[in-house]
Amino acid sequence: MLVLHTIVFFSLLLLVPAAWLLPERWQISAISLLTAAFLLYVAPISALMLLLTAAASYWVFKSAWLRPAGAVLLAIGQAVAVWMVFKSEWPTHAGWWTQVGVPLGLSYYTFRQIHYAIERYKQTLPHHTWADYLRYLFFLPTMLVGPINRFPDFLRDVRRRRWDAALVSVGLERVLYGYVKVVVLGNALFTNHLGHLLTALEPQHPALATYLGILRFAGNAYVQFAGYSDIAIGLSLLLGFRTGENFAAPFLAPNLNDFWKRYHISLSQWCRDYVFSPLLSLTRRPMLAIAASMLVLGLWHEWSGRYLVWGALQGLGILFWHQYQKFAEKRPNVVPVLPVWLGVFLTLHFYCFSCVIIREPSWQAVAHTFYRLLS
Amino acid sequence: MSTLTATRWADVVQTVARFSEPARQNAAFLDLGNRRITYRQLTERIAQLAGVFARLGLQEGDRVVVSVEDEVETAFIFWAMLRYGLTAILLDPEVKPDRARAIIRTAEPVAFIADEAFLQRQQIDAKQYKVLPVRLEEAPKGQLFRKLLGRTQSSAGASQTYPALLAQEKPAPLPTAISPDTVAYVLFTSGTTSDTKGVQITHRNLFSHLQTLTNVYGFDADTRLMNILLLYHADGIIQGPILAGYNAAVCIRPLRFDLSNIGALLDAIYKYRVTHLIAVPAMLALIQRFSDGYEDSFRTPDFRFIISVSSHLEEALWGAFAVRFGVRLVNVYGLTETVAGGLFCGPGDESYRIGTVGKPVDMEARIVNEFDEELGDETEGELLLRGENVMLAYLNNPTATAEVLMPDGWLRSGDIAMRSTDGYYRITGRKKNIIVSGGVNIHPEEITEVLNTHPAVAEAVSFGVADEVFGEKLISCVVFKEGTTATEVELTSYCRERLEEKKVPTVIHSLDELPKGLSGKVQLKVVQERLATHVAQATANGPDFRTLVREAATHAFKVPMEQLRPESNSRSMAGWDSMAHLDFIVRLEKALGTEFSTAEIMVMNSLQTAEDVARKKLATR
Amino acid sequence: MYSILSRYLPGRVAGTLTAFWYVFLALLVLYYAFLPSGQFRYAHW
Repeated sequence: MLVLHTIVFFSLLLLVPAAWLLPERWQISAISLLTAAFLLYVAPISALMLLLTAAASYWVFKSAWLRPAGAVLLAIGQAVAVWMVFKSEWPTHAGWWTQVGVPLGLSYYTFRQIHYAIERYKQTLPHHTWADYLRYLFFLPTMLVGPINRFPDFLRDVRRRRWDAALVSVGLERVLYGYVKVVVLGNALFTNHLGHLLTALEPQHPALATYLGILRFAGNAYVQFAGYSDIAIGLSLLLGFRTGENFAAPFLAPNLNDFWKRYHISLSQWCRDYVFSPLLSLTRRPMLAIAASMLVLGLWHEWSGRYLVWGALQGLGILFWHQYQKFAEKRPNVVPVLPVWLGVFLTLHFYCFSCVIIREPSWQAVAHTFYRLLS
Repeated sequence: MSTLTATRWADVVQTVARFSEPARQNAAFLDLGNRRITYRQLTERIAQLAGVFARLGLQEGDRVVVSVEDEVETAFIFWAMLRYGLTAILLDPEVKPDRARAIIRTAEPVAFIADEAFLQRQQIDAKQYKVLPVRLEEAPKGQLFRKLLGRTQSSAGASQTYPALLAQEKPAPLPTAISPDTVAYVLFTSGTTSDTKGVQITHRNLFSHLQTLTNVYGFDADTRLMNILLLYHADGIIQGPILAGYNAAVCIRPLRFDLSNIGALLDAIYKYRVTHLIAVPAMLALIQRFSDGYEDSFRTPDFRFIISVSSHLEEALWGAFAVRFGVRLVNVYGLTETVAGGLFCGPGDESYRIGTVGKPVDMEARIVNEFDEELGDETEGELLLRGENVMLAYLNNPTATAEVLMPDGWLRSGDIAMRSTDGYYRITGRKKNIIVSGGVNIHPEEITEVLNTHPAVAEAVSFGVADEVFGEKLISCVVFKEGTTATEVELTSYCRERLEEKKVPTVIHSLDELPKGLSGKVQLKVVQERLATHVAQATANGPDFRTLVREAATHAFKVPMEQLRPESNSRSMAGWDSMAHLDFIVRLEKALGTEFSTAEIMVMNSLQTAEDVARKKLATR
Repeated sequence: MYSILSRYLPGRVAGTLTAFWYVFLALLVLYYAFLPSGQFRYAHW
């Protein structure tokens, strides 16, 4: 919360004025330098890690003795290695790292760097410099909570951005709405009020309280994250950058496949482009590609068994839906076509119930939750 | 049937007076991205140049050759000359010396305002002519610091350069009126050296037509017009700084068109809040092909429509482009002889039908047979035009004038057209022998004439063939004299020395003889058929990538095979510009029977990468 | 918000209502902003 407030105030007081009042050719660099200064102040280790991984993922392609295939593997390898080391919390367990957990924004910039490496290998990137790449990574609004924006889009905005009062007004509105989602809906409503309500409800109606608790967890995660995304998108707009949407009313999705096109869009698109598509073209087996990309999507959150299972469940859900679709097309008379409201209901519940796994601290607790639900 | 409304138009005196209205003072006249020229600056420069004109003793109607590379100065000079009543002979700084000499001979100018390089190259004698040499100061380094410190660019030592010289000039009073019959400018259309055609446009022609364009497009002072066409073509200057100035609006020219900056061009639409884009069909074809991910470019709050000028807009491209970008393309049909337009397809629905040239505005149009008898609807014939915007005459060329300009004011367009029953005109063919390639008119005789002067060539013929991107491209065929020969590259470089880049033939074939009919005229159809079989045989070989790439390169870039190195790239080779790049790609695609993606094409900026990509492409097939 | 309201109401009314709406939300946020419950960290940002 505090970091969020700090980012917002820092952006409004320094980033936004710098982004518009300085001479045009210095504006973008000023944004990156201020971002770097912010990071150095808040978490010096994070700044260092970002700089090191950025340097590695860029300069490996300049190496004279590496073939492009080698370079892309190295670039991805270093990003994944750093990410795994920190996400598995191994340094903390090993004891030589106690205070700071994970570097700020690691999950997001790791995936940005992999995106960059693969696109660079595919030679689809427009002409750019090392400074452009740094500017892309040192962009405060999206650095800590995403979205995982793409490099060509960023470059394009650098080129076409201009002062636009309408855009700024939309940006301010967006920040406000984001705050409402995080503070009012997330913290006050879901966390506090609903929390008190459930505590009061629990003695008489344990099953209902558990059920509502499950919905509450997923609902809270959604409004909080959507709120953070709104703030990130809003702040980007204030700087003249149009970062893509990250959510599109996911709880209204009529099936799980559609749900993942509307929930954390930048991540699911990343998985589609850099896990699903390559695997599909490599193996020509769509089922395998879906399973793998949902596993990666799960593990992105946390390098742990429960997220592995959570991701696998999402994959299975999508596979099941695909099979059902195929079957229903073949035998229209046997299999009923679900009404939309039922699809929405089932999708929502499948997702919320799967989230029990990541909510509870242990497998026993997961089992206990489902047990209470049935009591 | 024809729309002819008497429009009131502002003359040059009224128009220039508007520049110095308080509201326009700090408004931009030109926006070059890194540089912004205000109407105040334009007004000041007009006054300074008037001082020069007065000192040189120039009078209304005097012909002055203008050939200046710098776009801003060109726009300044053109406006100043209009205001002073001088006749501008616009001469592209890139024009070849031979042609320049022919034009100067025809134009009989009294003065020159030109780059020093041009004056030296053409050996302009300062005793014979009045001369204003233009030598711009080189942009000093550390400009940003100066700007930040609030210093202007006038530094010591720059006093010899052109803007500084002007500042020392005593401003002279501007004439109180300019006769509407004074010739405003002369633009030379393509033609052979013996038959140069300089289109004379009077003030009445120009300003009445500027009003027509303003009405049709709905321009006003808030218009933000992007036009990046070259200023030494009518569509670049007239529908650019001149049309913008007529509306006291801004003309935006942030970049030069190039295959590598199509993205930047499209982003500029939003960045500069462009309301209208002037483009030629070749440009639109390239944008259509290389703009994946940019489909939203014209959906900005400000943008209204694209204006396609100067050559035929293919119906397929037109429709596809409009759908893809969700934007309206207004097509303008006109000739240098009619200032710019005449028939307009759009922007209103009542004149918009894709594939037609729409309806005439402020002009009369009729379609006639070979006896000049007017034809009815749905019948093909030559399109004639009449209106206030029809040129005075070709300069010092009564024969050519008589061929196109009828005594009662009708102008022969040279185009075959047909009118639908509800009044839409459609161009169906061409009567005159002219090739329009990438928006540039080319008289094939001009190229043939040059080839005929080559010592090894006995006779030559040039013609156009249809081309997807450029509309048409130029092909030449030569027959060598007994016992002599020359390579295609030699002939091409011979042409390049004597012709503008766009007039150099894409291909030069050598034939044993030119098939002729009974009248002794070369039978173009037979030549074209022979070439088709020739090309088919050549492409029947198996793919040897290196050779194929080198062959494509030697033809596309007009460089001898032995000069090509794998590392030859777009920066190291003179002929490798964006147009040639595409030609290279298309040749390679034809040779390999495949089609490259945007990403692949962008990557192929050296022969080595082209070879690699081609190899990979066929391997994955 | 304004773009929605201005479709049904005159511009001035829509503008005023929008302004009130923003002020209301801002006050709401301020009221709740200091609740000690911001534990949410999505994927360890």
